Order: sequence, then structure tokens, then C-alpha cells
Amino acid sequence: MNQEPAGHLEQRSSAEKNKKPSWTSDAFLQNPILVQAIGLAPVVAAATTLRASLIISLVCAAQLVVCEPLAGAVLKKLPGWLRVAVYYVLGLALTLPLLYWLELRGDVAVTTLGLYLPLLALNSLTAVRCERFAVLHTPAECLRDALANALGYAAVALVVGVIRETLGRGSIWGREFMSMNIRGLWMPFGGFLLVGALAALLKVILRFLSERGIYSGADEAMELELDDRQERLEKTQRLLENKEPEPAPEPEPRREPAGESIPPSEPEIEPPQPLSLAPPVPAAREEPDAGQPRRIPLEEFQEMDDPMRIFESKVRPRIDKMAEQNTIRLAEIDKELESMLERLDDLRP
Amino acid sequence: MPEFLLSARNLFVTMVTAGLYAVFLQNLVFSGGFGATEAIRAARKNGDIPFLSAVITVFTTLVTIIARLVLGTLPAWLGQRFAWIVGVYSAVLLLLYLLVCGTAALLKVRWKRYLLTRMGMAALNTLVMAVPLISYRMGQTLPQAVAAGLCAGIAFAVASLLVNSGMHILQQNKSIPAMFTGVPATLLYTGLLALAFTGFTGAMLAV
Repeated sequence: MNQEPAGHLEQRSSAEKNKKPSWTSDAFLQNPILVQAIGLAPVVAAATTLRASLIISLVCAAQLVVCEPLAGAVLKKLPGWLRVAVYYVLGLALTLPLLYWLELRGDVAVTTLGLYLPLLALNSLTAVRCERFAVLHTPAECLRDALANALGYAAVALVVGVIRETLGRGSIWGREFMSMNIRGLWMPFGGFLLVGALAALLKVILRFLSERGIYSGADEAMELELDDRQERLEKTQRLLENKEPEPAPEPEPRREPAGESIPPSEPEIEPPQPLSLAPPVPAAREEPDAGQPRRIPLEEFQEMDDPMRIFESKVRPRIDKMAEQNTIRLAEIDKELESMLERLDDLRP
Repeated sequence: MPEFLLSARNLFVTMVTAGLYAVFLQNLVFSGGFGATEAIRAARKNGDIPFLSAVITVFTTLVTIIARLVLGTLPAWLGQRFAWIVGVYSAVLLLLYLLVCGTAALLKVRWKRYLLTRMGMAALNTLVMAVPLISYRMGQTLPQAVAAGLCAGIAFAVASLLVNSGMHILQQNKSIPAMFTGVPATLLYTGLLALAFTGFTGAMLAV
């Protein structure tokens, strides 16, 4: 079997490998459209009515439910570039018969969806979820992830479809109930703006839940921005790692002044160390060179975070020492005063 | 002027017109949302934009040419249902993709890994299929369709670069409210770009 290379679709981080599927996390916190910005084309351009949104949602759900468990069970053994082709074939097997059947019926959905129905086979949602999650987990977990992502995708698609049909055409499910005609909502730019507004609304809701403590997992969604989580994880790890100090620059060779010769220095003989039962004193920290920041070990960095620990370890011993010294000094002063008072008593007539 | 020079000139003007139409007037990334996911993701890492644009150009053009040749040899009743047309175009794209990736997998070259990991996103996306199918539905001639295919990659690059430059500005702007930072701002910015490109098409928004 070919070893699978990591790439755009196959971002296998330890976080993804150890991740367990969760309904709320996959459907809302990591919503494929509003958070991860994948599968945009059908929702932005084609989800202009409730009926079209429903068809898009059902087709995408069917694709995910078929492809993800299959990827988790069998397809993980194939090379990555071949797996993507298999997803496309499976998507075509779902969308082309549906398109043919709708054409035979003369369904209005063919006109509404147009080119987007057969292109659902190329929806990036399926490929991304299969490559990022399905090939790393069991078929049962893949099925759960597929249903959760399908739920999140459908929720957004249906909301977008309802809003666009209601405000754009004044109708629901093809039945007019008011006179509205905002043409901009029919067009892709209206879809982009609407999805962007929904993404902002989701952030507000999740932040509200997080601040109220209703749902602790909401904080994770705040970090799922467009930037790659894997890149930020690796960057953070690089910052926390102890890097080897740069090699010290070689000392400049001594230049002998003309006419003089410097005798070689005699090697220093270390005096014998006296025997001591005291515990070894830890070596003093090397002071960093001027201008070069000192590399702080991770353990020391973690300890620095606790002010009480800093007080107990560094400040209190110095206070105790100063107090002890002051106590000795006061005792000496008291003793001198007593001796002076005795001498005065002796001198008094 | 000799006849063949006149024909060549007309052909050149036709192709340039179709190409400019594909890049600016009907930039399918903004006017149709095709390949929007890939454009936004490529904008995040703009080092991949040249590769993605090149692959989109090559695949779109080759699919256009080969699929039209294949449809020309098939019986006429096949063209009565759009599902059959989509099937033919899809089969051509799939075979082309497998041919390129299979050849690259057998070669021992330094860029094999880079190509194989990105080819899926570059070749199998909605933009690569949308351009030939829209050309077919619009009844464009083969030169027009080829020009549209050749300029599809340029249209993708234009879209990705515009989104990339906007993302940089948005990330540096500290006055954006927290609820709009990240994906919401990017989508809203892309929507405004799409609005601008929709204006190029002459679409009327007011009743």
C-alpha cells in the first residue's frame, strides 16, 4: 500500500486522530459552512428557495452517509488521490439518476437548481470530511460524524433558503403570501452576505453560551477561524519547545604585538575540594549575554505563573534573613544600653 | 487581406472576447459561487494559487475539447437529457484526472508529493466542471469554449488574490467587532466583491 502523504485535504493532526464525534460540536461549533467555510457553492448560489435547499441538504446528507463510512472501512487503504476520485464517482452515482428523474418529471427544481444539482457530486464537504476524519476513524464513528455534519449543513442551507425565498420572492415552498421582491437575495452575492451574517450570528450565540457557562465547549468554536488549526498548533508547540542555544562564537585569535612574544599561560591547577556533607548547591544559572534573551525552561516558566510560589521561594527567605539580622542587631543595642545605664548608676554620687 | 488572415483575426478576437468575459464579466467564482471554497482556502495560503490556477486552466480546457469531440461521435438522442451530457463531461474529467495522477504516481520526481496532495482539490472542484457545462449550455463555439477554459484559471487567480489581499487588510484592522472577525468578515468581503462583479454583468437589482 502506498503511504499516504499529508496535504491540503489530509491534515492529520493528533487532534483529529483523537477526536471523538459529537453532535453539537460537528453540527454547530464546527459547522461546515459557517465555521469551516466548506461546501459554499450550492448554499450561496443555489439555495434560493426552501425546496431547493431541501434537495441540496438531502443530496449532501446522502453523499456523506455513503462516503464517510465507506472511507473509514475500505477506502483508507487506497492512496489519497485515488480516494478523491472514488468520492466523485459515488457522488455522481447519487446525483445523476436524481437529475435524470427530475428531468423526466419536468420538475421545476431542475430550473431552480440548474447546474448545481449535478455539481453536488463535487461538493468539497464530502472530500474534506472524508479525508480529515473518516480515514482516521471507525465506520461507526464516521457514520455519526456524517450525520452530524449533514445536520449542520442542512440547518444552514434551510435557513438560507427560507430567508431568501421569503424576502426575495415573498413566498414559501412556491406559495406567495406577501409582496416582496429583493432581487439581490437571489444572486450569489446575496448568498455570500447572508451566510457571512449567519456566521457572525453563530459567533455571538456561542459566545453568549460560553459566558453564561451553559456550554463549555463553545470556546473551541471561537478558535475555529479560517486559519488552519494545524498550523497554529504547530506554531504554539514550536514556541513552547526548548530550542538548543546558539553555539558560542569562536574567540578571536590573539594577535601578538610586533617584537614581543607572549609566553604561553601555565595551566591552572585546581585546588583539592574539601569534603563536605552538605547537599550540593545547584549550579547558578548562566546569565544571558547582553542582548540575548535567556531561554526559560518549561518547568520554570510554569512555576513563574504562580505568584504565591514566587513569594514563598524567593521573597520570604530574604525577609526572614533580614528579620533575623535585625533581631540580632536590636539585641546588641539593648545590651549596650544596659551596660551604659549601669555605668551611669556607678558614676552617680 | 487574404482570407485565412481574416479568419485568424476573427478567431483571435472571438477568443479574446470570450476570455475577457470569463475573467471579468462572468467570473464564475463570484457570479456563480463555483470554486468559492477552493478560492477562499487558496487565498489563505497564496503560495498555492499559481498551481491551482494552472491545473484549473489545463483541466478545463482539455475537458472542453475532449468532451465535445466525444459528444460529436455519440448518437443525437444522448443530447436530449442534460444528465447524459453531465455524465459524459464527468467521465472525461475523471479519466483525465486518473491519467495525470496515475502517471505522476509512477514517476520518481521531486514534485510528485506536492502534485498528488493538491491535485484532488485543484482538478475535482465545481469550477472545473462548471466552465465547460456553461459553455455547452450557452451554445458557445469550440474556440469560445476553449478561450473560456484557458481563462478559467486566470479568473480563479483573480478571485483568490482579491480575497487574499482583503483578508490581510481585515486581519490587521483592529476596529472590526469581535463577532465579525475571521470567517464572517471574509464571507462578507467576498459577497461585496461578488456584488461588484455582478454589476459588471449589467444585472438590475432595482425593480
